[in-house]
Amino acid sequence: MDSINIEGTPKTPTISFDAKSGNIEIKGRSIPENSIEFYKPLVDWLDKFSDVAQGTVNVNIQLEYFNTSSSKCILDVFKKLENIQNKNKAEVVINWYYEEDDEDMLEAGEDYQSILKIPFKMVEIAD
Amino acid sequence: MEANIHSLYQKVSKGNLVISHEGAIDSDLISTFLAKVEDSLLQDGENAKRVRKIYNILVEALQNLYHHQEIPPKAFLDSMQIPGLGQYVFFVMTKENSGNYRVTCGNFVLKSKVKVLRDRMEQLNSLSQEELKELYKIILNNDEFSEKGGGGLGFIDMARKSGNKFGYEFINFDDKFNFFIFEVLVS
Repeated sequence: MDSINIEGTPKTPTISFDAKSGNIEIKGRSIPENSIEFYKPLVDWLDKFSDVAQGTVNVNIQLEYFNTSSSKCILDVFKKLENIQNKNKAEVVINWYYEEDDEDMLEAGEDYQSILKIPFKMVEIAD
Repeated sequence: MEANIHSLYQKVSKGNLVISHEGAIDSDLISTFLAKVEDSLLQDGENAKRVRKIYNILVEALQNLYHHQEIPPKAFLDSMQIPGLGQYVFFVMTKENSGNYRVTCGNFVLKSKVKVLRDRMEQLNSLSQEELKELYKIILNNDEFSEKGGGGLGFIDMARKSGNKFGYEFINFDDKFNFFIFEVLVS
């Protein structure tokens, strides 16, 4: 299965989805006007990945900004990861990174955590 | 009536201006505004936490305008004397003496949609931070995207991040449109 690697832009995050290692990373800014267009291929990829995922799926989400339109798409990504977890073939861990004084980003992670049934680890990035 | 909207824009553009714009708005313009405001806030010595908050609110305010541009009557567009103008919104950000930032947006709203929008404003202004958080999570977790591509979360997010009540006004324009003025304060 192919990996996805997308370079970040001022409005879209850097993406690294690696089926082989099971490492999934979203990093940077996610503020596109049309977030569905950006996230649809990622959500589709996770659908396929759910058939082959095994071992540990390590998910790193390190966002500086995300808009509300992305927030729904990010939830879709998490729901696909929840599916993988539910199939009992792989263990999914989500690492949610936030800057040490960024309470809004921490709270955003906790919002997701309360909606989903996969383990979240809140990781503070010290300056 | 046309002149009123332009003079309203001029009125809110007074004071210590960070950025202002009237006319159409597109994706590139939003990128330019965001970069400009971020630079200017950092240059002003605002701390990273505050810059993030203001930036977040700006993204939502600008993208709200982008997703909800209506085409006003041709006579109004012509009166603006901006060549090729096909849509109209305005956007103003000022810094007040208190150090607070005020973001004011103006856009045309179809009369048929005014009630829903007014109810939404009243509702959000009546909710506590805790209630806003709950509402955000409920809407986040429903699978709907609005016809304009927004997720219906923008105003809730701005209310949560600003911590202040919205200012808003619906100005009667013609048989079809009201002009909606929306104001959010970042203290």
